[in-house]
Amino acid sequence: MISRKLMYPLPALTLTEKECTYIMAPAIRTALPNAGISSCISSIVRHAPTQSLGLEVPNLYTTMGTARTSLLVEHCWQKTPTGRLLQIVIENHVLDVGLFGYIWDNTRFASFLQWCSHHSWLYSVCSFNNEHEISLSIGHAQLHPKRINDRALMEMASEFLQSTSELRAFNRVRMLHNVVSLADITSANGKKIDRIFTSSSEFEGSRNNFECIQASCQQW
Amino acid sequence: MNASKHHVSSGDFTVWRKALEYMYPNGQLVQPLGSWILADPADWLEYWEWFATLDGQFLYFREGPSIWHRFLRRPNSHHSYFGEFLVENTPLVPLRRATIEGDVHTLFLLNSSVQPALPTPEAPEEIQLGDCLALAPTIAWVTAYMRTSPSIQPLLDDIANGKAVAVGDGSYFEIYGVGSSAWILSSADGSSWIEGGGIVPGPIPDLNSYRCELGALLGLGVGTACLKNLLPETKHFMITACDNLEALRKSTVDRTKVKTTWKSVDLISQILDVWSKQHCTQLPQRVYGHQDDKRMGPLTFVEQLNVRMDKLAKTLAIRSFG
Repeated sequence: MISRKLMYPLPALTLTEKECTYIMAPAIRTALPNAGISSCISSIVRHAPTQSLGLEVPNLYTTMGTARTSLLVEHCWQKTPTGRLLQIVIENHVLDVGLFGYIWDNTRFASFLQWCSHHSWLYSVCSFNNEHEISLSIGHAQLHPKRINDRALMEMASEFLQSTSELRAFNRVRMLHNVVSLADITSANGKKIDRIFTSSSEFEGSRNNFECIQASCQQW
Repeated sequence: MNASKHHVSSGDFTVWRKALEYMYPNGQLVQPLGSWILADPADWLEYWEWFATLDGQFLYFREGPSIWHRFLRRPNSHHSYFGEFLVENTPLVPLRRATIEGDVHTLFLLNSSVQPALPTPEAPEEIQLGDCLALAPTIAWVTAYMRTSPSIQPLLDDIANGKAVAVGDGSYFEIYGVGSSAWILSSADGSSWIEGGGIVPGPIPDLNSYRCELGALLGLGVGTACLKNLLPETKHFMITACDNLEALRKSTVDRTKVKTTWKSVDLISQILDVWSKQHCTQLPQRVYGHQDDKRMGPLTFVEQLNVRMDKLAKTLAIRSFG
């Protein structure tokens, strides 16, 4: 069992697996010998279900990950005030990722984790779900192509830029200009780059109705 | 949607320009963009700055929602415009989106694109149910088996008048790890009906008779949703009967009370979603199951339908494991 004191705050936390192991270590070291089991028993056996001849000791990291996903699903479906805040967080994440379609597609996680912000609760949820092959279907506002043959800038940039730092730099400028796809930065006839986007200053026009907020709002 | 902004350095702009050089070799896209895809026609003027009239006589710059600058084309020129402008309200003439370059003295129209025609909204997918065209079911497994009486018009009339009856039942074969659901929407006299069913999805440890009953109640909701475009848009009611009291309670529970820790919460949430999107409202009614075995004497109409659905559910399950 994980004590209630540890359980209650879990959905709000973004602990790493290592941190969870560290937190549970004193309890494991004491509880297992008292139950007549070696405290050095493999963690695989320790956390495995009893049907598989394991000890079924709850894993704090897995409990935290599933609690977060459960909370996200429950509040978004019920449209509670927390759910509406979570929807805003999801939309912020969508803009940060900069790709068309749903962000729950685990096949794209490996690419967008290179450039999106890691300091967010939602990133931790996506990361855990990707790691454990959990697929969500929570509806959210999506980015769409604006013209035929249009492609997301981040999708294209990931083909040409190899390093994470370059992708993040590109994403920072993209977010500064508040643009998403090729259609936003291409001339009206759809053939050439709009030269205004090659200057080193913020684009003052508007290509969408996305509002800009400070990064700190996203990092909760 | 909101976009967060981080500090952008000159090095970031260098990377940005480097990537743009890859994307636009020689300043041009390898595959040019095609027609615009607009979600809303109002976006055409909202999310662009420079516009040109169709005849090219004027350029317009969008300064604000109702503040526009109008520039006149220079005489004997195709693409050159005066730098002076007049301030106007939103122009009423059709405009092309334009790309320009130049300075305060002269503007050059580089290129432009016309507003696309409005796309025709996609018609919802339809299926033939009896003598009527109904909406395709939104959840496939629950209508894997589907049949109707030759005409469903009397059923539609009875649903609109609150006389129709909907009954669902589930069947669970524990040793085979298979559960099935069957459901029927019937007119008051039983002459007109739609019945359906399927194998209940989900991991074997989660399967039980309760989940199968929930599957049947979901089938009732999906079946009624298929008839949405054939039913009046005013509020109407239909009796939904089932022999599992707890499943019946859960199918009408307040949305805010639902917990993800509940068993088969996936089906419960789908039932609530399906019914919340239609004008028809459930009137839940408990029916005692297997009355053909337990009681002598005539069965009520709802009990007869329950027995019929019990047999159908068992048939569907047996078919699945051969």
